Amino acid sequence: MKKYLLKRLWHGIITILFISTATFFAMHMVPGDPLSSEKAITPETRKALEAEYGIDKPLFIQYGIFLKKTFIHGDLGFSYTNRNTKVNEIIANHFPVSAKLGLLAIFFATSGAIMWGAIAAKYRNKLPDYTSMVLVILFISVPSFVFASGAQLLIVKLNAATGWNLPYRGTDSFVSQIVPAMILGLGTMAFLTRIMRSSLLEVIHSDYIRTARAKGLSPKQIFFSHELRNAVLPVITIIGPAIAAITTGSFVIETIFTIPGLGKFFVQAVQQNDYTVIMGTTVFYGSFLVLTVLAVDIVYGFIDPRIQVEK
Amino acid sequence: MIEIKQVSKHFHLSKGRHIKALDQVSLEIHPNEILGLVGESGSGKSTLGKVLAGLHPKTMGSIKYKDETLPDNYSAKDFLRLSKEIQMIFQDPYSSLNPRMTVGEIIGEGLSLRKVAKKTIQEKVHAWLLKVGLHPDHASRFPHEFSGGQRQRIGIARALIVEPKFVICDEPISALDVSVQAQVIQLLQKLKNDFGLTLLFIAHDLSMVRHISDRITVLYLGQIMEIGPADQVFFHAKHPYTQKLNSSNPLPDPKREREQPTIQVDNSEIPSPSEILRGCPFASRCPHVSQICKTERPELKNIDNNHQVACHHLDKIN
Repeated sequence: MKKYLLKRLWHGIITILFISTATFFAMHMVPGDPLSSEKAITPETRKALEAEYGIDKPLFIQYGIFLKKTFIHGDLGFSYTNRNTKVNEIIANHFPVSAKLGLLAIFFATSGAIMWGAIAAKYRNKLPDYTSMVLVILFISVPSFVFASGAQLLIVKLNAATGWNLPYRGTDSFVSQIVPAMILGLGTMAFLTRIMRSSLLEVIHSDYIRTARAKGLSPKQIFFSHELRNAVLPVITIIGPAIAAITTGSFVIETIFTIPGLGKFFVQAVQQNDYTVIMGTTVFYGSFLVLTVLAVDIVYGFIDPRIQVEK
Repeated sequence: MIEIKQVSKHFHLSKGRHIKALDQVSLEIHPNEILGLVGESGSGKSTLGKVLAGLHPKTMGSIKYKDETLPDNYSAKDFLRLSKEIQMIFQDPYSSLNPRMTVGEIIGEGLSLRKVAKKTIQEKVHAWLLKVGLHPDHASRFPHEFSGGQRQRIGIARALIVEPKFVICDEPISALDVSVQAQVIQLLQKLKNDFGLTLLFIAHDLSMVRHISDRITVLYLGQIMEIGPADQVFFHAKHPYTQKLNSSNPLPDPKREREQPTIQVDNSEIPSPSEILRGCPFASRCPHVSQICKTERPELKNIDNNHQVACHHLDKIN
């Protein structure tokens, strides 16, 4: 187990190095640099600033400095656009906000997907199945800002009509996060519903379900102790990457609901060529993804005894 | 013990067509006997087993167990009650055990849903593991850690732990190696004697069925062709289909095998059960076929006490 973990971590480090190298050079190939968005800047000032940030040096030297700072000192540097703010601080301040919202979204997505998938499979080729299929396509194909702004509008109208004071933005209370979390998890839920449905259909027709019936178990007992336990496995496979994607924040949802999460930094940094923030968020996201996938693989071993983590 | 009267099972296909997997089967199973059920693939053997276990609802007919008429379509309550009396051992020992449950959970589940105390279940599971030739330590392992023969033993233990009176063995050995087959057969015989079980033994290996059964029933396209004491059916078969089945079973002695008379039949595939059959189902392949065979269905006729054959030309053939 220990050997397996070390091996997986080693592979993870190589993956992250590869991701950051590719991002680093792709980023520098994009025309312009962090200073090109500065207003009316004299050549002298520009030179001084370039020297201060170290972007006057040859690219490979910059790359070496980046590697050393990031992977040896764990220092992601200062942001170009938010002066005096370290990228480490940005992540430390904004990631927890996104993560809280994201975990809630994952909770809605998986519980909803397991429920809907089970209903669709149980009523295969009947109305509930077709309804869920239509909804799934809708949730996957309609962009999240449509649902987000629609939901927000609905809350505001509802408040106006009833005199209630339901929160429609911000992160002041737990309640205010429920609607954004549901919308954030919508696409994942739709996708997982399909997976749950097909996996459950396969399990329902397997021989050991027939064995369970022969034992005298009621349909309800069979569903909870035999079918669900076996069908949920493929769903867990997808959850790993989904957790990484959702908990690191969504630009659209966080902007619409004014949630100060990490999501906007991914987008703003690219727009403004903010080199340090781009690299910092990329390395962070990559490491997080590698870790969640590893965690899922370990959880797998507990859930499915046939999959044995190498000793 | 079990009285099957005119039982039919139709499976519906698309466009209103259907398959008659069982066509008016009547059969009696006596207490404490092993009744062998043979027939080629698609003859309806497993369907009959599953109908008896309540896993398929029957289309027509009635089944009486002891003095009770069994329901056509089992409710959850019927299952709970009747699965304590009638149990089934399944064909494929690989796919019929839940891969995510330990062997102990698989074997003990039949008891735990009947609210037996945890400790009693554990003791019983251990006792049954020993009875089927496994070790009590195996209770905490998972099915994939066992071989086919061991898994079939687990399947046997899980069926018998509720102490049923009547057990349907649906080709319990067809997925196993020959040497393991013998072990499982011996185990079944021993358990049958120890617990006074009544068995319906479904198989397509004739010599194995003769070895274990008291009586043999031959099924073809969902209809009974011949039924009688095992040795009678095996050595003095009266129905041309049974004769063909017997002669296609190779003898281990090459000399005898060469001398064994071959019975000429049309070796084409078994006709599809979805075709509407009038007359004798075997008519399309029978060497003795005549006009009446194609239009009239032969009744099961007594040829001596408890040996019955369904054929129009019994006198001519034999």
